[in-house]
Amino acid sequence: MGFLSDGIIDALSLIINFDQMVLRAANTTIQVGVIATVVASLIGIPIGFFLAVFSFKGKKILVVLTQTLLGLPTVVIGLIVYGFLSRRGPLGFTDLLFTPTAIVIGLVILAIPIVVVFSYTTIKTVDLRVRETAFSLGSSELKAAWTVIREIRYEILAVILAAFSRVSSEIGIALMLGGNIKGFTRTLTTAIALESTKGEFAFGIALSIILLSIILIANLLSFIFRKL
Amino acid sequence: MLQIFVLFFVLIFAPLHSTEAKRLKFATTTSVANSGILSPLLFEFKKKHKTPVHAIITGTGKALEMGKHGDVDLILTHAPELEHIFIKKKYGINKKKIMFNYFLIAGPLSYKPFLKNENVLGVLEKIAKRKLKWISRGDNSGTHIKEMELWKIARLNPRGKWYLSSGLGMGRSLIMAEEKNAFILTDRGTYLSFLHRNKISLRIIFGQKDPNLLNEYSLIQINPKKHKYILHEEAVKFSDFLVSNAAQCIIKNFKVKQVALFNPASTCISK
Repeated sequence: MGFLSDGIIDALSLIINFDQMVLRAANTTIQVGVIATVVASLIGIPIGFFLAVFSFKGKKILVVLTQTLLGLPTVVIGLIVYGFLSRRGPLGFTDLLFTPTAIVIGLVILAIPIVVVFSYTTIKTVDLRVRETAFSLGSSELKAAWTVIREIRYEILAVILAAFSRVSSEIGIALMLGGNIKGFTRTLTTAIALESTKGEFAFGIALSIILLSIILIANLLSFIFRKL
Repeated sequence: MLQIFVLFFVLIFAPLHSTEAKRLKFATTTSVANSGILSPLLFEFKKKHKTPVHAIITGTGKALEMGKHGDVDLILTHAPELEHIFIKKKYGINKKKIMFNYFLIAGPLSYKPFLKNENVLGVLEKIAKRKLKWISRGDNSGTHIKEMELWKIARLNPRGKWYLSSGLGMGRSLIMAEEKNAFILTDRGTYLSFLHRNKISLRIIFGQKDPNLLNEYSLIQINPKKHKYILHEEAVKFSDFLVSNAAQCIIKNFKVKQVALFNPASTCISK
Protein backbone atom coordinates (compact mmCIF):
# COMPACT_ATOMS: atom_id res chain seq x y z
CA MET A 1 0.00 0.00 0.00
CA GLY A 2 2.94 2.31 0.71
CA PHE A 3 3.76 2.76 -2.92
CA LEU A 4 0.22 3.86 -3.77
CA SER A 5 0.41 6.92 -1.54
CA ASP A 6 4.03 7.52 -2.56
CA GLY A 7 2.86 7.32 -6.16
CA ILE A 8 0.35 10.09 -5.73
CA ILE A 9 2.94 12.35 -4.12
CA ASP A 10 5.47 11.47 -6.84
CA ALA A 11 2.93 12.20 -9.56
CA LEU A 12 2.18 15.64 -8.17
CA SER A 13 5.86 16.54 -7.85
CA LEU A 14 6.56 15.29 -11.40
CA ILE A 15 3.77 17.44 -12.79
CA ILE A 16 4.72 20.49 -10.77
CA ASN A 17 8.40 20.19 -11.69
CA PHE A 18 7.71 19.59 -15.41
CA ASP A 19 9.96 16.51 -15.39
CA GLN A 20 11.55 16.33 -18.87
CA MET A 21 11.34 12.57 -19.28
CA VAL A 22 7.71 12.53 -18.22
CA LEU A 23 6.82 15.44 -20.48
CA ARG A 24 8.43 13.77 -23.50
CA ALA A 25 6.70 10.47 -22.75
CA ALA A 26 3.35 12.19 -22.25
CA ASN A 27 3.85 14.14 -25.46
CA THR A 28 4.67 10.98 -27.43
CA THR A 29 1.65 9.22 -25.94
CA ILE A 30 -0.70 12.04 -26.94
CA GLN A 31 0.83 12.38 -30.40
CA VAL A 32 0.71 8.74 -31.41
CA GLY A 33 -2.66 8.30 -29.68
CA VAL A 34 -4.34 11.22 -31.41
CA ILE A 35 -2.92 10.45 -34.85
CA ALA A 36 -3.84 6.76 -34.60
CA THR A 37 -7.36 7.60 -33.38
CA VAL A 38 -7.93 10.11 -36.19
CA VAL A 39 -6.69 7.71 -38.87
CA ALA A 40 -8.65 4.78 -37.43
CA SER A 41 -11.80 6.94 -37.24
CA LEU A 42 -11.45 8.12 -40.83
CA ILE A 43 -11.23 4.49 -41.93
CA GLY A 44 -13.51 2.87 -39.35
CA ILE A 45 -16.54 5.16 -39.27
CA PRO A 46 -17.28 4.83 -43.02
CA ILE A 47 -16.95 1.05 -42.70
CA GLY A 48 -19.29 1.05 -39.70
CA PHE A 49 -21.73 3.21 -41.61
CA PHE A 50 -21.57 0.94 -44.63
CA LEU A 51 -22.22 -2.16 -42.50
CA ALA A 52 -25.14 -0.52 -40.68
CA VAL A 53 -26.94 0.95 -43.67
CA PHE A 54 -26.44 -1.43 -46.54
CA SER A 55 -27.26 -5.08 -46.67
CA PHE A 56 -25.22 -7.46 -48.77
CA LYS A 57 -24.16 -11.08 -48.87
CA GLY A 58 -21.71 -12.12 -46.16
CA LYS A 59 -22.40 -9.03 -44.06
CA LYS A 60 -23.10 -11.00 -40.90
CA ILE A 61 -19.83 -12.92 -41.23
CA LEU A 62 -17.99 -9.63 -41.69
CA VAL A 63 -19.59 -8.20 -38.54
CA VAL A 64 -18.74 -11.29 -36.50
CA LEU A 65 -15.17 -11.24 -37.81
CA THR A 66 -14.73 -7.59 -36.87
CA GLN A 67 -16.13 -8.28 -33.43
CA THR A 68 -13.64 -11.12 -33.05
CA LEU A 69 -10.81 -8.74 -33.92
CA LEU A 70 -11.73 -6.74 -30.81
CA GLY A 71 -10.05 -9.54 -28.88
CA LEU A 72 -6.80 -9.32 -30.83
CA PRO A 73 -3.98 -9.07 -28.23
CA THR A 74 -1.74 -6.07 -28.70
CA VAL A 75 1.42 -8.20 -28.64
CA VAL A 76 0.06 -10.15 -31.59
CA ILE A 77 -0.50 -6.94 -33.55
CA GLY A 78 3.00 -5.88 -32.50
CA LEU A 79 4.49 -9.16 -33.71
CA ILE A 80 2.76 -9.05 -37.07
CA VAL A 81 3.65 -5.43 -37.78
CA TYR A 82 7.21 -6.13 -36.60
CA GLY A 83 7.39 -8.89 -39.19
CA PHE A 84 6.42 -6.43 -41.90
CA LEU A 85 8.63 -3.55 -40.78
CA SER A 86 11.70 -5.62 -39.91
CA ARG A 87 14.58 -5.08 -42.32
CA ARG A 88 13.97 -8.60 -43.53
CA GLY A 89 10.28 -7.98 -43.94
CA PRO A 90 8.47 -6.67 -47.02
CA LEU A 91 8.44 -3.08 -45.72
CA GLY A 92 11.96 -3.14 -44.26
CA PHE A 93 13.20 -0.52 -46.72
CA THR A 94 11.04 2.14 -45.06
CA ASP A 95 13.22 2.10 -41.91
CA LEU A 96 10.10 2.65 -39.81
CA LEU A 97 10.79 0.08 -37.10
CA PHE A 98 11.47 1.70 -33.70
CA THR A 99 9.90 5.03 -34.71
CA PRO A 100 6.69 6.73 -33.51
CA THR A 101 5.22 6.08 -36.96
CA ALA A 102 5.60 2.33 -36.41
CA ILE A 103 3.65 2.66 -33.16
CA VAL A 104 0.93 4.60 -34.99
CA ILE A 105 0.60 1.83 -37.59
CA GLY A 106 0.09 -0.77 -34.87
CA LEU A 107 -2.34 1.42 -32.95
CA VAL A 108 -4.43 2.08 -36.06
CA ILE A 109 -4.82 -1.68 -36.50
CA LEU A 110 -5.82 -1.94 -32.84
CA ALA A 111 -8.33 0.91 -33.07
CA ILE A 112 -10.06 0.13 -36.37
CA PRO A 113 -12.12 -2.84 -35.08
CA ILE A 114 -13.16 -0.77 -32.05
CA VAL A 115 -14.32 2.14 -34.21
CA VAL A 116 -16.02 -0.13 -36.75
CA VAL A 117 -17.92 -2.26 -34.24
CA PHE A 118 -19.09 0.58 -32.02
CA SER A 119 -19.98 2.99 -34.83
CA TYR A 120 -21.82 0.12 -36.53
CA THR A 121 -23.95 -0.57 -33.44
CA THR A 122 -24.54 3.16 -32.89
CA ILE A 123 -25.51 3.96 -36.47
CA LYS A 124 -27.87 0.99 -36.48
CA THR A 125 -29.92 2.73 -33.80
CA VAL A 126 -30.62 5.73 -36.04
CA ASP A 127 -34.01 5.76 -37.65
CA LEU A 128 -33.19 5.14 -41.30
CA ARG A 129 -36.02 7.46 -42.29
CA VAL A 130 -33.59 10.27 -41.57
CA ARG A 131 -31.52 9.09 -44.50
CA GLU A 132 -34.56 8.64 -46.72
CA THR A 133 -35.81 12.12 -45.88
CA ALA A 134 -32.41 13.52 -46.79
CA PHE A 135 -32.65 11.74 -50.13
CA SER A 136 -36.12 13.08 -50.76
CA LEU A 137 -34.81 16.56 -50.09
CA GLY A 138 -32.37 16.00 -52.92
CA SER A 139 -29.24 15.05 -50.98
CA SER A 140 -26.48 13.04 -52.61
CA GLU A 141 -25.39 9.71 -51.12
CA LEU A 142 -22.52 11.34 -49.23
CA LYS A 143 -24.62 14.17 -47.94
CA ALA A 144 -27.27 11.77 -46.70
CA ALA A 145 -24.60 9.80 -44.87
CA TRP A 146 -23.38 12.99 -43.26
CA THR A 147 -26.96 13.75 -42.13
CA VAL A 148 -27.14 10.36 -40.42
CA ILE A 149 -23.76 10.80 -38.73
CA ARG A 150 -24.71 14.30 -37.58
CA GLU A 151 -27.80 12.88 -35.98
CA ILE A 152 -25.62 10.83 -33.62
CA ARG A 153 -22.47 12.94 -33.52
CA TYR A 154 -22.14 12.72 -29.74
CA GLU A 155 -22.34 8.97 -29.75
CA ILE A 156 -19.74 8.88 -32.51
CA LEU A 157 -17.56 11.17 -30.44
CA ALA A 158 -17.89 8.72 -27.56
CA VAL A 159 -16.73 5.95 -29.93
CA ILE A 160 -13.69 8.00 -30.93
CA LEU A 161 -12.88 8.69 -27.28
CA ALA A 162 -13.13 5.00 -26.45
CA ALA A 163 -10.65 4.29 -29.23
CA PHE A 164 -8.32 7.01 -27.92
CA SER A 165 -8.46 5.62 -24.40
CA ARG A 166 -7.63 2.17 -25.68
CA VAL A 167 -4.68 3.19 -27.84
CA SER A 168 -3.12 5.47 -25.25
CA SER A 169 -3.30 2.81 -22.54
CA GLU A 170 -1.95 -0.17 -24.47
CA ILE A 171 1.65 -1.33 -24.10
CA GLY A 172 2.42 -4.32 -26.32
CA ILE A 173 2.48 -2.37 -29.57
CA ALA A 174 4.36 0.63 -28.20
CA LEU A 175 7.05 -1.62 -26.70
CA MET A 176 7.58 -3.92 -29.67
CA LEU A 177 7.34 -1.40 -32.48
CA GLY A 178 8.72 1.64 -30.70
CA GLY A 179 11.49 -0.05 -28.75
CA ASN A 180 11.06 2.28 -25.74
CA ILE A 181 13.81 4.65 -26.93
CA LYS A 182 14.28 7.45 -24.41
CA GLY A 183 13.01 10.80 -25.63
CA PHE A 184 11.85 9.33 -28.93
CA THR A 185 9.51 6.38 -28.74
CA ARG A 186 9.10 6.14 -24.96
CA THR A 187 5.40 6.46 -24.13
CA LEU A 188 3.83 6.66 -20.71
CA THR A 189 2.94 2.97 -20.75
CA THR A 190 6.40 1.79 -21.81
CA ALA A 191 7.87 4.12 -19.20
CA ILE A 192 5.62 2.52 -16.57
CA ALA A 193 6.83 -0.91 -17.65
CA LEU A 194 10.45 0.22 -17.49
CA GLU A 195 10.07 1.75 -14.04
CA SER A 196 8.47 -1.41 -12.73
CA THR A 197 11.40 -3.48 -14.07
CA LYS A 198 13.62 -1.16 -12.05
CA GLY A 199 11.49 -1.81 -8.99
CA GLU A 200 10.35 1.83 -8.90
CA PHE A 201 6.70 1.01 -8.24
CA ALA A 202 5.79 4.42 -6.82
CA PHE A 203 7.16 6.15 -9.88
CA GLY A 204 5.19 3.72 -12.06
CA ILE A 205 2.01 4.60 -10.19
CA ALA A 206 2.83 8.29 -10.64
CA LEU A 207 3.09 7.81 -14.39
CA SER A 208 -0.20 5.88 -14.40
CA ILE A 209 -1.91 8.79 -12.69
CA ILE A 210 -0.58 11.14 -15.37
CA LEU A 211 -1.78 8.78 -18.11
CA LEU A 212 -5.25 8.60 -16.59
CA SER A 213 -5.32 12.38 -16.26
CA ILE A 214 -4.69 12.74 -20.00
CA ILE A 215 -7.60 10.42 -20.77
CA LEU A 216 -9.73 12.31 -18.26
CA ILE A 217 -8.90 15.63 -19.93
CA ALA A 218 -9.84 14.16 -23.32
CA ASN A 219 -13.20 13.15 -21.89
CA LEU A 220 -13.75 16.53 -20.25
CA LEU A 221 -12.96 18.27 -23.54
CA SER A 222 -15.59 16.20 -25.30
CA PHE A 223 -18.04 17.07 -22.55
CA ILE A 224 -17.44 20.78 -23.07
CA PHE A 225 -17.63 20.25 -26.82
CA ARG A 226 -21.07 18.70 -26.38
CA LYS A 227 -22.30 21.67 -24.44
CA LEU A 228 -21.30 24.06 -27.20
CA MET B 1 -18.25 20.40 -36.43
CA LEU B 2 -16.59 16.99 -36.49
CA GLN B 3 -14.58 17.98 -39.54
CA ILE B 4 -13.23 21.04 -37.79
CA PHE B 5 -12.39 18.93 -34.76
CA VAL B 6 -10.46 16.40 -36.83
CA LEU B 7 -8.73 19.02 -38.96
CA PHE B 8 -7.67 20.88 -35.87
CA PHE B 9 -5.81 17.92 -34.44
CA VAL B 10 -4.27 16.86 -37.73
CA LEU B 11 -2.89 20.35 -38.27
CA ILE B 12 -1.50 20.56 -34.78
CA PHE B 13 0.19 17.22 -34.61
CA ALA B 14 1.20 16.39 -38.18
CA PRO B 15 4.25 18.71 -38.39
CA LEU B 16 5.62 17.40 -35.09
CA HIS B 17 5.58 13.95 -36.54
CA SER B 18 7.64 14.56 -39.66
CA THR B 19 10.46 12.43 -41.04
CA GLU B 20 12.94 10.69 -38.81
CA ALA B 21 16.58 11.45 -39.52
CA LYS B 22 19.41 8.98 -39.89
CA ARG B 23 20.20 7.34 -36.56
CA LEU B 24 22.38 4.60 -35.22
CA LYS B 25 20.43 1.88 -33.48
CA PHE B 26 22.05 -0.40 -31.01
CA ALA B 27 20.46 -3.08 -28.92
CA THR B 28 21.77 -3.78 -25.47
CA THR B 29 20.80 -5.65 -22.35
CA THR B 30 18.84 -4.46 -19.35
CA SER B 31 21.87 -5.11 -17.12
CA VAL B 32 23.83 -2.46 -19.01
CA ALA B 33 20.93 -0.02 -19.19
CA ASN B 34 19.78 -0.33 -15.57
CA SER B 35 23.29 0.26 -14.28
CA GLY B 36 23.21 3.79 -15.71
CA ILE B 37 26.54 3.48 -17.60
CA LEU B 38 24.90 4.30 -20.94
CA SER B 39 24.18 7.95 -20.19
CA PRO B 40 27.80 9.09 -19.66
CA LEU B 41 29.00 7.00 -22.62
CA LEU B 42 26.37 8.32 -25.03
CA PHE B 43 26.93 11.85 -23.74
CA GLU B 44 30.64 11.61 -24.52
CA PHE B 45 29.95 10.18 -27.98
CA LYS B 46 27.51 12.98 -28.73
CA LYS B 47 30.21 15.60 -28.15
CA LYS B 48 32.08 14.64 -31.32
CA HIS B 49 29.53 12.88 -33.51
CA LYS B 50 26.35 14.15 -35.06
CA THR B 51 24.51 10.89 -35.66
CA PRO B 52 22.04 10.29 -32.82
CA VAL B 53 22.40 6.94 -31.08
CA HIS B 54 19.21 5.14 -30.13
CA ALA B 55 19.59 2.45 -27.48
CA ILE B 56 17.02 -0.33 -27.59
CA ILE B 57 16.98 -2.15 -24.28
CA THR B 58 16.16 -5.84 -24.30
CA GLY B 59 17.54 -9.24 -23.35
CA THR B 60 20.65 -10.71 -25.00
CA GLY B 61 18.62 -13.33 -26.87
CA LYS B 62 16.32 -10.76 -28.38
CA ALA B 63 19.19 -8.37 -29.13
CA LEU B 64 20.92 -11.09 -31.14
CA GLU B 65 17.65 -11.78 -32.95
CA MET B 66 17.26 -8.08 -33.82
CA GLY B 67 20.81 -8.07 -35.10
CA LYS B 68 20.18 -11.16 -37.19
CA HIS B 69 17.30 -9.41 -38.92
CA GLY B 70 19.31 -6.24 -39.40
CA ASP B 71 16.90 -4.19 -37.32
CA VAL B 72 19.77 -2.64 -35.37
CA ASP B 73 23.29 -1.62 -36.41
CA LEU B 74 25.18 -2.83 -33.35
CA ILE B 75 24.63 -5.08 -30.35
CA LEU B 76 26.24 -5.02 -26.91
CA THR B 77 25.62 -8.39 -25.29
CA HIS B 78 27.06 -10.79 -22.72
CA ALA B 79 26.78 -14.36 -23.96
CA PRO B 80 30.17 -15.36 -25.47
CA GLU B 81 29.00 -18.66 -26.88
CA LEU B 82 25.96 -17.26 -28.65
CA GLU B 83 28.07 -14.37 -29.90
CA HIS B 84 30.58 -16.84 -31.30
CA ILE B 85 27.84 -18.61 -33.27
CA PHE B 86 26.44 -15.25 -34.36
CA ILE B 87 29.78 -14.27 -35.90
CA LYS B 88 30.41 -17.73 -37.32
CA LYS B 89 27.13 -17.47 -39.20
CA LYS B 90 28.37 -14.10 -40.51
CA TYR B 91 25.50 -12.12 -38.98
CA GLY B 92 28.03 -9.97 -37.17
CA ILE B 93 31.61 -8.73 -37.58
CA ASN B 94 34.36 -7.04 -35.55
CA LYS B 95 33.55 -8.29 -32.09
CA LYS B 96 35.20 -6.08 -29.51
CA LYS B 97 35.40 -6.72 -25.79
CA ILE B 98 34.20 -3.63 -23.99
CA MET B 99 34.02 -4.43 -20.30
CA PHE B 100 33.54 -7.19 -17.75
CA ASN B 101 32.53 -7.96 -14.20
CA TYR B 102 31.47 -11.04 -12.26
CA PHE B 103 28.06 -12.53 -11.66
CA LEU B 104 27.12 -13.23 -8.09
CA ILE B 105 24.65 -15.36 -6.20
CA ALA B 106 22.25 -13.48 -3.96
CA GLY B 107 19.87 -14.92 -1.40
CA PRO B 108 18.47 -14.67 2.13
CA LEU B 109 21.10 -13.61 4.66
CA SER B 110 20.30 -16.38 7.18
CA TYR B 111 21.65 -19.06 4.84
CA LYS B 112 24.99 -17.37 4.32
CA PRO B 113 27.05 -19.28 6.92
CA PHE B 114 25.56 -22.58 5.83
CA LEU B 115 26.37 -21.99 2.17
CA LYS B 116 29.90 -20.70 2.71
CA ASN B 117 32.12 -22.20 0.06
CA GLU B 118 35.30 -21.49 -1.87
CA ASN B 119 33.70 -22.43 -5.12
CA VAL B 120 30.48 -21.34 -6.81
CA LEU B 121 29.76 -24.90 -7.90
CA GLY B 122 29.82 -26.01 -4.27
CA VAL B 123 27.22 -23.38 -3.41
CA LEU B 124 24.95 -24.50 -6.22
CA GLU B 125 25.30 -28.11 -5.14
CA LYS B 126 24.21 -27.29 -1.60
CA ILE B 127 21.23 -25.27 -2.83
CA ALA B 128 20.12 -28.07 -5.14
CA LYS B 129 20.58 -30.75 -2.51
CA ARG B 130 18.58 -28.90 0.11
CA LYS B 131 16.03 -27.88 -2.55
CA LEU B 132 16.25 -24.26 -1.48
CA LYS B 133 14.10 -21.96 -3.60
CA TRP B 134 15.85 -20.68 -6.69
CA ILE B 135 14.63 -18.13 -9.23
CA SER B 136 15.83 -18.63 -12.79
CA ARG B 137 15.38 -15.93 -15.42
CA GLY B 138 14.32 -18.52 -17.98
CA ASP B 139 14.29 -15.90 -20.74
CA ASN B 140 17.33 -16.81 -22.84
CA SER B 141 19.16 -13.73 -21.60
CA GLY B 142 22.90 -13.65 -21.03
CA THR B 143 22.38 -14.23 -17.32
CA HIS B 144 20.05 -17.16 -17.94
CA ILE B 145 22.51 -18.75 -20.36
CA LYS B 146 25.27 -18.32 -17.77
CA GLU B 147 23.10 -20.01 -15.16
CA MET B 148 22.45 -22.96 -17.46
CA GLU B 149 26.21 -23.28 -18.04
CA LEU B 150 26.86 -23.31 -14.30
CA TRP B 151 24.35 -26.09 -13.61
CA LYS B 152 25.90 -28.05 -16.45
CA ILE B 153 29.46 -27.63 -15.18
CA ALA B 154 28.26 -28.64 -11.70
CA ARG B 155 26.61 -31.70 -13.26
CA LEU B 156 23.29 -30.84 -11.71
CA ASN B 157 19.88 -30.98 -13.27
CA PRO B 158 17.73 -28.39 -11.49
CA ARG B 159 14.14 -29.58 -11.53
CA GLY B 160 11.30 -29.53 -9.08
CA LYS B 161 9.13 -27.23 -7.07
CA TRP B 162 12.09 -25.34 -5.64
CA TYR B 163 13.28 -24.25 -9.09
CA LEU B 164 11.14 -21.42 -10.45
CA SER B 165 11.56 -20.00 -13.94
CA SER B 166 10.35 -16.40 -13.92
CA GLY B 167 10.59 -15.40 -17.56
CA LEU B 168 11.18 -11.84 -16.36
CA GLY B 169 14.03 -9.37 -16.63
CA MET B 170 16.81 -9.13 -14.04
CA GLY B 171 15.15 -6.45 -11.92
CA ARG B 172 11.78 -8.11 -11.67
CA SER B 173 13.39 -11.49 -11.04
CA LEU B 174 15.33 -9.98 -8.14
CA ILE B 175 12.10 -8.65 -6.67
CA MET B 176 10.53 -12.06 -7.12
CA ALA B 177 13.48 -13.66 -5.30
CA GLU B 178 13.03 -11.09 -2.53
CA GLU B 179 9.31 -11.86 -2.21
CA LYS B 180 9.88 -15.62 -2.29
CA ASN B 181 13.00 -15.60 -0.11
CA ALA B 182 14.85 -17.37 -2.88
CA PHE B 183 18.36 -17.55 -4.33
CA ILE B 184 19.25 -16.07 -7.68
CA LEU B 185 22.15 -15.57 -10.08
CA THR B 186 22.46 -11.88 -10.87
CA ASP B 187 24.81 -9.39 -12.45
CA ARG B 188 26.53 -7.08 -10.01
CA GLY B 189 25.21 -3.83 -11.46
CA THR B 190 21.51 -4.63 -11.20
CA TYR B 191 21.96 -6.23 -7.78
CA LEU B 192 23.75 -3.23 -6.30
CA SER B 193 21.35 -0.72 -7.81
CA PHE B 194 18.39 -2.58 -6.26
CA LEU B 195 20.16 -2.99 -2.93
CA HIS B 196 21.13 0.67 -2.70
CA ARG B 197 17.61 1.83 -3.47
CA ASN B 198 16.27 -0.47 -0.74
CA LYS B 199 14.22 -2.50 -3.20
CA ILE B 200 15.65 -5.78 -1.93
CA SER B 201 17.30 -7.09 1.22
CA LEU B 202 18.90 -10.15 -0.38
CA ARG B 203 22.58 -10.49 0.47
CA ILE B 204 25.55 -11.66 -1.57
CA ILE B 205 25.87 -15.38 -0.83
CA PHE B 206 28.75 -15.92 -3.22
CA GLY B 207 30.52 -12.92 -4.71
CA GLN B 208 34.09 -13.98 -5.38
CA LYS B 209 35.89 -13.59 -8.67
CA ASP B 210 35.35 -17.18 -9.68
CA PRO B 211 36.34 -17.63 -13.35
CA ASN B 212 33.11 -19.54 -13.86
CA LEU B 213 31.22 -16.34 -13.05
CA LEU B 214 32.99 -14.07 -15.54
CA ASN B 215 30.53 -11.72 -17.23
CA GLU B 216 31.96 -10.25 -20.40
CA TYR B 217 30.26 -7.59 -22.52
CA SER B 218 31.17 -7.37 -26.19
CA LEU B 219 30.12 -5.07 -28.99
CA ILE B 220 29.38 -6.61 -32.37
CA GLN B 221 28.70 -4.76 -35.60
CA ILE B 222 26.00 -6.19 -37.78
CA ASN B 223 27.43 -7.46 -41.06
CA PRO B 224 26.65 -4.77 -43.68
CA LYS B 225 26.90 -7.39 -46.41
CA LYS B 226 23.82 -9.12 -45.02
CA HIS B 227 21.64 -6.01 -44.90
CA LYS B 228 22.05 -3.00 -47.14
CA TYR B 229 20.50 -0.59 -44.66
CA ILE B 230 23.14 -0.96 -41.96
CA LEU B 231 24.90 2.30 -41.13
CA HIS B 232 28.33 0.72 -41.30
CA GLU B 233 30.48 3.87 -41.16
CA GLU B 234 28.70 5.21 -38.11
CA ALA B 235 28.76 1.77 -36.49
CA VAL B 236 32.55 1.65 -36.92
CA LYS B 237 32.83 5.09 -35.31
CA PHE B 238 30.74 4.02 -32.35
CA SER B 239 32.64 0.78 -32.00
CA ASP B 240 36.01 2.62 -32.11
CA PHE B 241 34.69 5.06 -29.57
CA LEU B 242 33.73 2.38 -27.05
CA VAL B 243 37.25 0.90 -27.05
CA SER B 244 38.89 4.32 -27.04
CA ASN B 245 40.77 5.53 -23.99
CA ALA B 246 38.07 8.09 -23.22
CA ALA B 247 35.26 5.52 -23.13
CA GLN B 248 37.33 2.95 -21.25
CA CYS B 249 38.10 5.56 -18.59
CA ILE B 250 34.41 6.39 -18.27
CA ILE B 251 33.74 2.70 -17.66
CA LYS B 252 36.57 2.45 -15.14
CA ASN B 253 35.44 5.53 -13.23
CA PHE B 254 31.74 4.76 -13.28
CA LYS B 255 30.71 4.15 -9.69
CA VAL B 256 27.51 3.68 -7.78
CA LYS B 257 27.97 4.55 -4.11
CA GLN B 258 31.76 4.37 -4.45
CA VAL B 259 31.60 0.86 -5.92
CA ALA B 260 32.87 0.33 -9.46
CA LEU B 261 30.41 -1.77 -11.47
CA PHE B 262 32.47 -2.65 -14.52
CA ASN B 263 36.11 -3.22 -15.37
CA PRO B 264 37.24 -1.82 -18.72
CA ALA B 265 38.40 -4.49 -21.18
CA SER B 266 41.52 -2.50 -22.05
CA THR B 267 43.49 -0.22 -19.77
CA CYS B 268 42.49 3.34 -19.14
CA ILE B 269 45.44 5.72 -19.21
CA SER B 270 44.46 8.84 -17.33
CA LYS B 271 45.99 12.01 -18.67
